[in-house]
Amino acid sequence: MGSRILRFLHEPGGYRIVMGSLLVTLLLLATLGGSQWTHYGPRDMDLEAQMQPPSPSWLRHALTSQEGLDRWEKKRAEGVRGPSAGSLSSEESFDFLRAEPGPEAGDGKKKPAGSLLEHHVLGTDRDGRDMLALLIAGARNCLLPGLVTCAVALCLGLPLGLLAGYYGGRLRRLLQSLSGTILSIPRLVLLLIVVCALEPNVYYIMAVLGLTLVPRVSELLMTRVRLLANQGFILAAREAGLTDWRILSRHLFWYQNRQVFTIQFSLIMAESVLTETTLSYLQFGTKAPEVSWGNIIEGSQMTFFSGYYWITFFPAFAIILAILGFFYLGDGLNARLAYREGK
Amino acid sequence: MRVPLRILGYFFGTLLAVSVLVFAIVHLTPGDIAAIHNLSAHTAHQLHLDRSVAAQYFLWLWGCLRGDFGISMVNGASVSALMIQYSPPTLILTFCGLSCSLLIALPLGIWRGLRPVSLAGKLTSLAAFTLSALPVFVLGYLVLGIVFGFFRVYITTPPEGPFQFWSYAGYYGLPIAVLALGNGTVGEFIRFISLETQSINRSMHMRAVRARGAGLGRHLSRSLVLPVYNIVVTHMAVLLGGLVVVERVFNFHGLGWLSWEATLKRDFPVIMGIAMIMAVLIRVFMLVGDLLAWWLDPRLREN
Repeated sequence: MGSRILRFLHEPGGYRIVMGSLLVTLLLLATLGGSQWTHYGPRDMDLEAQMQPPSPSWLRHALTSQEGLDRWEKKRAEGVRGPSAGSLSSEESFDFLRAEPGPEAGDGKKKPAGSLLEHHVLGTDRDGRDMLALLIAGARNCLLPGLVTCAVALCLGLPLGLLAGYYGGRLRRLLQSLSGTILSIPRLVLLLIVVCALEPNVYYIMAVLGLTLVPRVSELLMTRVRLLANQGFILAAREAGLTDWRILSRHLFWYQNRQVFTIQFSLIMAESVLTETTLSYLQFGTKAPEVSWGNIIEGSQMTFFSGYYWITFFPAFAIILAILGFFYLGDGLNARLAYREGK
Repeated sequence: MRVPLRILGYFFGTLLAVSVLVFAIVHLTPGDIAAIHNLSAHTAHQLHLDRSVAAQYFLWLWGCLRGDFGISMVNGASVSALMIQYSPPTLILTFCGLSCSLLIALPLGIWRGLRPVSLAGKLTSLAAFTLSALPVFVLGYLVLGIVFGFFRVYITTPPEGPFQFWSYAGYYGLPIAVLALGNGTVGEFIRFISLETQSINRSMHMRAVRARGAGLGRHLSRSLVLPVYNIVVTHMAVLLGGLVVVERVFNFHGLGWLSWEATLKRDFPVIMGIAMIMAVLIRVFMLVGDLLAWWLDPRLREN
């Protein structure tokens, strides 16, 4: 058992696959069961705790006894009296670089210490919304549009690539010129034109993104199928009287290229998370009442320059982790496929 | 001479297809342009909005060919004038960003390609990998947070007057750095260059060179020129797309910012013009690459 795990890790891409699947699982868990992780919903405004920094109070709560906690609180109260949330002067606004957690806003009316879930673990934003709840709500809004992109890109790209690789000729030339056309406009600018013309919702834009990715998927599959199409086993299958449909679906796709589906799925997910957050940041994707990571960053512009770093940085890290997860997974699987095929 | 003709035909054909695509997205989709902008019947007539779609397309294409992309629907300014006004900073940004990322990626990529299994090589590829997962605006905010946190200043007004290094560096430095590092540009370059170096290094002619005891650098660099040019050109599109985001993050008034604002205000002629200009730019670079390949590689000429 142990040696099998080790062998899995040591084949090319092993660590990447493990890392990637861990991150993707985390994202999935956050989407499916994330609402259990905090007592706050993404729209609950805790008006007593606006702009509360990510505080280690929950950690303190977990580690120390009530007495120690009280003493700690008293000691801190005797120390520097911190500014209240509304009036951070420019002198005090860059405290985060000195790594000293600022005193919590709304200090006087402290909540009774309940379970860990009742603390704002990652702090709160300008409206007193819990950052963790926002991040969890954002995870859903970046995963679902990504699925739309994948569905469009793969459902069109894979059959087109198979057909173009197997039959060649006119379809192949058409695909090549199509991809030449799409490649000559920056993808983001193309999406901006679509937004400009239709002002659509996120899912529509992500479907268009899927359309622009179709040539990439189909060209990849086309080159692979073209290499296979003249090999002995395909000729033998044709001689044996198998229908083209069966050869294409079984022998060319399922037996030879089904990994391409998984690899492309995760790479396209990475791409679409990137695009979705970027578009939301530019105010064209997920719109205000709905929460998206890019959206949170866009809304935190003003507060960011006053030193409330956490409202910007936590969604940023979430974006990076999500993209890295899909990216690691796709790339690791790709490396493994290349290695196994080379062997 | 037959091959260059085909290359030229492909160039013009693709640009024509791009123009059809851009026009179709805007004009063949539901929604009345005149109604969106509350144009009077008279203005709509002046903008040819009351003619058939085909007629509008040919009028627009003819305008594009003459360098006249129409007028902005928001303030009536000429789109060409707007683009001329906004493009110089963007050109500086693009050029410097690309050169910076090449300056970083070339040595690292070649070095890693020559020693792919060393620990340092693995670390380089990990860093490259992580960089290519960073969206531009996230990187922009990280950099802004660090710079603003330490220096407490950030220059947002474009420098004027005679050239002074520090004022220009203060304004252009951060966007260039973010554009060069973000968007996966550097990461992709390093990965690609190192793979290419590896495969060249293993090839027969490099083995012959090594057996003869000749210098490796000259032969390696010669075989690297074309692939590197190609990867740079294919990344131009990504880079130009990233410009929109970078200019938005740094509030940097260039073409990308213009296209963002045009989209926000639904200013169709501006965004169409920008898309066409970018497509022409990308296609011209690709054309040069094709011609270079045809000229340098005798195998392509004979077939």
